[in-house]
Amino acid sequence: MDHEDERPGRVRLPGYEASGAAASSRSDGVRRVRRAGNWTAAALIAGVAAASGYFAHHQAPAASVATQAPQAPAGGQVAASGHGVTAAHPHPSSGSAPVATSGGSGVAVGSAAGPAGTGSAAGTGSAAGTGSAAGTGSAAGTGSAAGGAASLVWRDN
Amino acid sequence: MSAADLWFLSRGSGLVLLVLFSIVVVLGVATRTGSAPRRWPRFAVAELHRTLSLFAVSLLALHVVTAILDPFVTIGWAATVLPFASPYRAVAIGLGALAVDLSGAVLVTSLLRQHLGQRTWRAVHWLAYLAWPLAFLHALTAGNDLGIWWVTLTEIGSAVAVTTAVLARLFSRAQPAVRPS
Repeated sequence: MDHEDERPGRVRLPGYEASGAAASSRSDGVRRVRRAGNWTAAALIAGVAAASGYFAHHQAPAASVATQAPQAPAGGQVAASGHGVTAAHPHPSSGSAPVATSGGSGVAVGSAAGPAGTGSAAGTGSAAGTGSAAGTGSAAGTGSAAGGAASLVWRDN
Repeated sequence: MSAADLWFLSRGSGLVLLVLFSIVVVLGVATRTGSAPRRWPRFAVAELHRTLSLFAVSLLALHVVTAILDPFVTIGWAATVLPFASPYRAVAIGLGALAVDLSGAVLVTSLLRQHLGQRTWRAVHWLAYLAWPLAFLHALTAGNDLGIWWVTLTEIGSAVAVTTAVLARLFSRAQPAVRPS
């Protein structure tokens, strides 16, 4: 910042050199800004780390719903075919649960309960698609198994 | 880094970003109204406003990148700038995208301020007053953490700070300028 004053083509105002108090005040201000900027940067890093750490440690263990057995809803066939991967993910931290199954890959996304402890991926099954239930993924959510790409359906409890 | 870590990082950076964005807005208002702590020269407040704005850009990049890299939701790179293009929580993410667009315009015009002229720069800079509420609504709707007391407190504190600053700005604008005799 100080070096900006030395840029070519700039001429100091008359009396600048004589005004020692003004120069001192300016350099003092610049120093304050730098110090505040450094402290803010440190606080930002610490804040992000603290908040992320809190979110990571204050979520309930991954829900066991990820290991649910496949269910074939009445009146329809589950189109979960493919990988049959089950996984738990802590997305719905509090009260919002991803209840999803896919028609394509058979991925069932489990959920972790948040601080409120209400996360759940068990919903009412509604597999409206057609196809063969060749995968092992569970259709425990409300996501439609329409034989397309994997899709997530979020539900706010 | 696991997918869950990305998600936590995205949430954490988003929350801190809201706080930082609020501080930037308050400092911007303080710059305009000439408010500054007693021992701080006014240019220092303006300089801090500028510095923290650049910090906010970095934090925004972290927030967006971690959200997109998280494989458990499909947001897509386009949805970061195209409002309501996200297949996941279209409205909530769309509000964030709008805030990004407006903030980007404010940032670019600030960097090009000397080439644009004061009037154009100021006209675009007013968009910051629109970007903050959009970012706030994005935080309320996209986040799942309102059940955590300190998160709620942080968001309420941010809203109070910005509202107070804006009211102070409006009040100072309403007051007639007093010329020194």
